[in-house]
Order: sequence, then C-alpha cells, then structure tokens
Amino acid sequence: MPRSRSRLCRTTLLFVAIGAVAWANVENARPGGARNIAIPGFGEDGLRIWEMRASQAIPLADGIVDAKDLVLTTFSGPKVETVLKSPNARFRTEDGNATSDSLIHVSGPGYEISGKGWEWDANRSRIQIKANVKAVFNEEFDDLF
Amino acid sequence: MRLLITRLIVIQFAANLSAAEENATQPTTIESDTAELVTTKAGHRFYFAGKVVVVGTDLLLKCDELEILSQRESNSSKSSAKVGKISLMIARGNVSIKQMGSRGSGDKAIMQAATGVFTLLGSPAVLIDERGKLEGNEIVFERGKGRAELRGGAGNRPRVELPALPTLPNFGRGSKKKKSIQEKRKP
Repeated sequence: MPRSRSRLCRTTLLFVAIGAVAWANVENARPGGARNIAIPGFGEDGLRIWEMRASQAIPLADGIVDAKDLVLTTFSGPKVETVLKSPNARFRTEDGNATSDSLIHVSGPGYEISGKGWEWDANRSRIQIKANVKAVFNEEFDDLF
Repeated sequence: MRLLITRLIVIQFAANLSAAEENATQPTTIESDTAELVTTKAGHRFYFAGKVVVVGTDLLLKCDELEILSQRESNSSKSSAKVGKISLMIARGNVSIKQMGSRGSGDKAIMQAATGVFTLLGSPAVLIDERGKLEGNEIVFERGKGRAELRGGAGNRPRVELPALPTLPNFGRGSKKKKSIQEKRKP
C-alpha cells in the first residue's frame, strides 16, 4: 500500500511539472515574448563570459532579440567585470553584440559610466556610448604637477 | 565643569570628523560627448572624445580626447575586484589644465603614474604658476623630485619668465664714476 501511494505521489508530481512547463511555454509563445529570461554566452574555453537578463524578450529573425530592462553582465573568469543596464536594446545572441538608442548605465570595479545610445561587442569586449557621457572614477587624478 | 568637558569633547569630535572628510578620496568625474570602454586581460582602456571635462578635487582638465589605461589588480581574490590604479592618462587636442595655483595648456598631456612623470607637449606648451611662466615644445615634470625640464623645438627656443626680482640696493657706485668720466672727457 505505501509503495503504490509513493508511485501515485510521483506520478502526480510529474504531471504537475509537465503542466507547469507547458503553461510556461504557452506564456512565452505569446506575442509579448518571453519574460524574465537569462541568456549566457560562453568563450572558446567554455567559460561563461557574459550573461544577458531581461524582463521581456521578443525574438525576431536570425537570433535577434528585442530586450526590455536589460541587465548585461560580463565576466573575467569567475569575477564580474562590468554590469550594463539599459531599458531597451536589440540583442544579437549569435554574434554576441547589442545596440540601443536608450540610456545606459555601466558599473565596473571603481567606476560608473552613464550616457545615451550604445553598442556592445562581446568579441572585442567593447562598450561604446554615443552621447551625453558622464563617468565617475573612485580615484583622484590630482597632483599631476 | 561638566558642560565645559562636554563642549571640549564635541569640538574634538567635530575636528576629527572634518579631518577625516578632508582625507577621504573624492571621486573624479569625466564628461564627454562619446566614450568607449574596452576590457582586456591586462586591464581597462577608457577613451572619451568630444568636449572632455575632467573635474577632480583640485583639478580641472579640458581637452578634445582623453585616454585612460588602468592595469588589472592581479592579487585580488574578491568576486568583484577594484579597477587597478590608473597607469597612463593621455589628453589630446586643446588641452588646458588647472590645478591648485597652476595652469597649463598645450596640444597633448601625458601622465605616467608609475614613474610620476607628467609631460605637456605643444607649440607651445605653456605652464604658469606663482613661480613664473614656462614656455616650450615640451615641459616634463618629475613628481616628487620637484624637477621640471623645458625643451624647445626647431626654431623655438624654450622661454622662462620669472617673477620680478626685488629691487637691488644701490651702493652709490657706478653712477657718480660714470658722471665724472664723462665730465673729464668734455673739452
């Protein structure tokens, strides 16, 4: 009797899990795209070098994703290198780059940079900010001469 | 008596607080039209372009382009390390620097943090402070040594202007003698 009860429990759990996954897929297939997604990018050595998180991601053709409330984290080994935040961006997952005309805020170890309009290229580890740049360094550049 | 002791403690505390505030590192802000940040295994490269303005505690730097290199801290084991110390800073185009009582201008300024050498280049590079005015093609400062080297270019000799010297005492020599010689020569 306890065995059959345990089986019944497992079977019920399995159906619940399948149901949850199916419901999530239906949600993500809606025109609004997927919600609260995370896409990692890996280097040649197999280590994670970046991770893109967004509150909403609408997939377009050829691996292009329009992301909202983007948080892009780049890594150097196990360490966080930079955290880039922007309200909107067009992300090319296959090429590992993103562009946006929206505001951007980049924080790294010892500095913060903000501006408007940006491009990110994972292959070159490069962030370009197109306008209204303001950077704050936690270091004094004084005492030059 | 108690009131006096309390007042003394409060005054001491306030003095310590203001001293700590003075010693605290003030952030440096940079504003520009565009920027580029590249991270490499060696460190970070920041490139600012277009109406670049750097404001520090005692520094105001303006230029067309500014490049900053920082080396990665190798011995940090934290999950998010601090950016390494700024190792090199290069300002290009219409460079103007104000720092404390000094101001300089030129076409290019290079600051090497490791050596403490600051170089101002231009045609001419000019530096003015209360000690005088330096003008040449290259002004090299060695921080800590209190030494400045002024170099000229082809057809452009370096020039140093010192503040007006104090009036030398007149010992009464020369003027009278000259007068008497001139009188003797008269027919």
